[in-house]
Amino acid sequence: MSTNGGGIAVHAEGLGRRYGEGEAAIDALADVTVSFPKGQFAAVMGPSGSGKSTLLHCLAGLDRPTSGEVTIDGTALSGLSDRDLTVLRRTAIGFIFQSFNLLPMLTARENVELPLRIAGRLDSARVDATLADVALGDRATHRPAELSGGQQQRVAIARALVSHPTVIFADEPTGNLDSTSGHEILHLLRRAVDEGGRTVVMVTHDPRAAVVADRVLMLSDGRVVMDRPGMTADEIYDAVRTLDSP
Amino acid sequence: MIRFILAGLRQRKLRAGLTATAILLGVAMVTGTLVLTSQITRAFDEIFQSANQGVDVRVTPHIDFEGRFGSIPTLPESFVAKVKGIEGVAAAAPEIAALGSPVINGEYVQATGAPSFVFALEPPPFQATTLASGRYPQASGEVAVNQGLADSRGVGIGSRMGIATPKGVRPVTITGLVTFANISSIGGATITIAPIADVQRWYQMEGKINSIAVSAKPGVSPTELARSLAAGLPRTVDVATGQQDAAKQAKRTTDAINNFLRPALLAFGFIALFVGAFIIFNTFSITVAQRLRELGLLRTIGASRRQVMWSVVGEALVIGLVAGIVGLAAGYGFAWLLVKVFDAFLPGGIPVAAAQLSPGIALIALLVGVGVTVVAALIPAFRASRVPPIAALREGAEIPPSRISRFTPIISGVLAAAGVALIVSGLTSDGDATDRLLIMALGSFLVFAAIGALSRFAVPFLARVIGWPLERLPGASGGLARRNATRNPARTAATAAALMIGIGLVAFVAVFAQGLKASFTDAIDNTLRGDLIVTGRSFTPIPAGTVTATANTPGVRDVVAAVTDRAKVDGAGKAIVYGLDPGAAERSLGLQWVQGSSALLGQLNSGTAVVESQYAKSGNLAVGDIIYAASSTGKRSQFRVTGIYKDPDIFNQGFIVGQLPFQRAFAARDPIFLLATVDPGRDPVAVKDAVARSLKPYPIAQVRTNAEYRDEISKQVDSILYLLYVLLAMSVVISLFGIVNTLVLSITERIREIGMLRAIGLTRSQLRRMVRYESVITSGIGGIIGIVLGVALAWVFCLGLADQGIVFRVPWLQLVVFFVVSIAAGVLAAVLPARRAARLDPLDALHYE
Repeated sequence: MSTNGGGIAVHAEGLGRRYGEGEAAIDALADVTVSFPKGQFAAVMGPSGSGKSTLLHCLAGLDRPTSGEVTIDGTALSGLSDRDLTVLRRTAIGFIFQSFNLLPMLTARENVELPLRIAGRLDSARVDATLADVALGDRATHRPAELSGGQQQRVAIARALVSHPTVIFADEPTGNLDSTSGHEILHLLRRAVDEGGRTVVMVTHDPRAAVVADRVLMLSDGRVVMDRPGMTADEIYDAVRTLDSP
Repeated sequence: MIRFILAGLRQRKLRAGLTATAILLGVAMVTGTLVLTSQITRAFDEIFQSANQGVDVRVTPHIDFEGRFGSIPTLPESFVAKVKGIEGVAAAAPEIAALGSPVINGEYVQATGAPSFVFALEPPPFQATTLASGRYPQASGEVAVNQGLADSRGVGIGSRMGIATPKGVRPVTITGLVTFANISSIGGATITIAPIADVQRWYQMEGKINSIAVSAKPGVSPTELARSLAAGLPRTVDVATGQQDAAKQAKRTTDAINNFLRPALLAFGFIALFVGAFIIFNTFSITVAQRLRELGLLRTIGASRRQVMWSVVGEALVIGLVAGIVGLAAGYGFAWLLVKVFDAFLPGGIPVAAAQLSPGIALIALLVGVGVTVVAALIPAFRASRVPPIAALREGAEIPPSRISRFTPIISGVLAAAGVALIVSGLTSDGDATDRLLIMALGSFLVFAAIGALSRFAVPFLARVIGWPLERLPGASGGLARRNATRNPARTAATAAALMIGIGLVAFVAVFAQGLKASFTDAIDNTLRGDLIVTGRSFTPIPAGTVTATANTPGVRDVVAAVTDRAKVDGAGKAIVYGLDPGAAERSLGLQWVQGSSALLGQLNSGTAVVESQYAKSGNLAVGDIIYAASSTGKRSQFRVTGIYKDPDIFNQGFIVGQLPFQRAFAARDPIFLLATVDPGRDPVAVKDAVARSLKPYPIAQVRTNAEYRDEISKQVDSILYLLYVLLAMSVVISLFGIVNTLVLSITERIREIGMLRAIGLTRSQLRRMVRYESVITSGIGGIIGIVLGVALAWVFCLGLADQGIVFRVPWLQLVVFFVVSIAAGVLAAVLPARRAARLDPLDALHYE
């Protein structure tokens, strides 16, 4: 059940990201080549400072790599203008953040509608369906402050799903949640892959979250040190322990 | 996007409200001015139109231009018969309009600003007045007066009163009360209607009249009648239909309103808007900085840069629209208030038509409100568009500096220099006064904007200066406040800049007024060597009879009367001509001579002239040249220039000729002032009292010693100064909103810090003090920069106007007061934000987010 559709959703070739110059320069990413096929749920793990967040930012076109190339759905990012990149974000990419990042003055429904409104193609039926998918149909008129953390993250998932993107990037989506809510969130992402055919790339440091993924990548010092499909929780714990205490 | 903007505004109601207030006060001032001046203009139009209702055509003596102080030209009375003989004329009546105040119970009815008319009685249908009670005068010594005068002075039919005429106060009896042009209030103006023979006698106009009112035979239109009159009468008269004439008369009054009052009030409205623009700019800059995550998020979910920019501009648009609408309403309130103020301070008030909701004014209010807000928000909006999407993910992300931002100090410096250059060019060019003022205003505007942008570099230093005493007070509040004020110098600077403008302009007018006052008082001390000065109570000429009355008073040695009129000089434009008695002038004037000496004054009756240096320069006149002058009625005469003197204050904008040549060449007869010298050894004050007794028959005239006169001029300058302070106070009030806004925003931003400070033991009152001190440091910075800038600008202006006698004097005490006012403004602005900060629960503050 690792691939539902054909083709590569995201591909990185020789990706490098260097911060600073000269002696003080740090390579947050060094020569990373990785592919995410469509319909895959991948977890990116690694200790703090391993470069997992930088990888996510570069893959999503939020940060410009200093070397290498990222391709999303066949489109190379390096050649894109800010405008083209914006259009790509509208159509092909969804985001989920650790701190939810909902707009506090908008209702849940309005938050979900926002990407469609920005793109100028609001589709109420689709918004309703997406809200129902995340089981928030009855909370649509609530403001984020009136929702629990789990509910807020479900709104964020709906917001990421509503534009039917090729790939969803999730940055520690369960980091701010208790385990029950975290489980719900992972379940929703899983369903998005299995039933919706989306691709999910999730950065996490929680092995319990990574278990849900089809594939786990381990990063250390800006390099991919392990890339394995379908790991069990114990295998992940072991791998993490090895990396944390070399 | 609109929903997003509106939802955002709902979320931040207080901020949106404060921001809108900053602009709406300026909008209110602008629309209020437009509403009020159009009300007054319309009132005058209505008055004159309705006064001319019965007049189809009016015949007046031809004039090329207006004489000074309304020296009204005359026609021979015999012209009336000539008019009656022309085809189409049904009736024609002679008219005289003169100025003369009623004297009731020995008290002179002094109308402040508004004129006191004396009209010759006209037969129907020409009467501009309607009889309210009694009857029109028939016999000599009978008059009708306006109802308003009777009501306010407690006189009625049968009462006796006097009329102040050039021949002294004439006793009359009231036989009727009238209303003018069917309106109840004509402001403070008074009307006295008397038989024509009486008026001619009082005003030495036997056989003369001012104009002729004509009515047309049935079937003849006013235009046709005017055409046949123009054809049948000599070129020495002008013919106009009643409507044209009313429009012309109304224009004379409304021009003063439209060309002076309206632009002056508008200028203060625009200053208020300028201050508001700073606040908008600052508020939007702060919110953009605080919403980096939100804006970054919009980018991650697919918003383009332009959409992010529009979300900020759109917010400005909505705030501007609200400010425009509310400001429009407030503007009507402002106009209403001003009418009430006029009513309270001017007896009888001013003529005002009902306020009208004009689409033009509404449009201006909206355009100004939206325009200023949007323009001020453009830079923050542009900055918002530069927020990278990654800001949604990172704590403490920053907006990448734009390519231009590095050059901001240089650009500001260039702008400041350009501003100073504009001011200097405005001061030194000899173009039209309005253009020069506009250029100088634009220059000052640039200087203020540039200094506002540059002042962030001075913030750390000034904060240390103002914070010094605060940091020495017990408790940590002072030190924290100073560091808070300097942690974002650009923000503190922009907040202070709003106050800087208000305080800067206040300081500017204070210094400038001081210079103006000094210029006048110096001129009075130096030029007028007499001991006493006789002038009119309002700015009008005094009866010629006062000259003999003053000269015949025991103790008076010498009197020089100054008569003045306008003249058109070939090749040099309009001039003010002064006619003086040569001998007396030589003895009692201390003119400052560029070429020549006082001896020249003694020879003026031989047809020579001495010219003021500014006028000589602009008109290219030198000693030996001939001045070819035309009077307002077109009479031509010539004078040989024998000397040049410098006097920008009293005998300015023209030249002095002898009394006799003046009378031959010009229409004006009544002097504008008299200078009297007392016999050696006599007490001037005692002689002044004696002169005052001699002037009893001329209540319009008043005598003062030179020192008293000088004090009075100072007081007049001061009263204008206080008026300017009141108008500028609006800008200071607006800048208060700016400080409140910045403090509230800063507190929101530092909510976690505040929680932490409270958790480690800062008390509520210490916290309040911290906020208050930060506010005081900000307002103090605005005050200091404003005062320095205001004084510097005034220095440039005084230097540029040195030719016109303006000197640079610094009113130190007032400047200290302004600084104290700025500090007080800071304390006031901190009240609300300090209370909000203190209300925060330390735990909540820590758990925020």
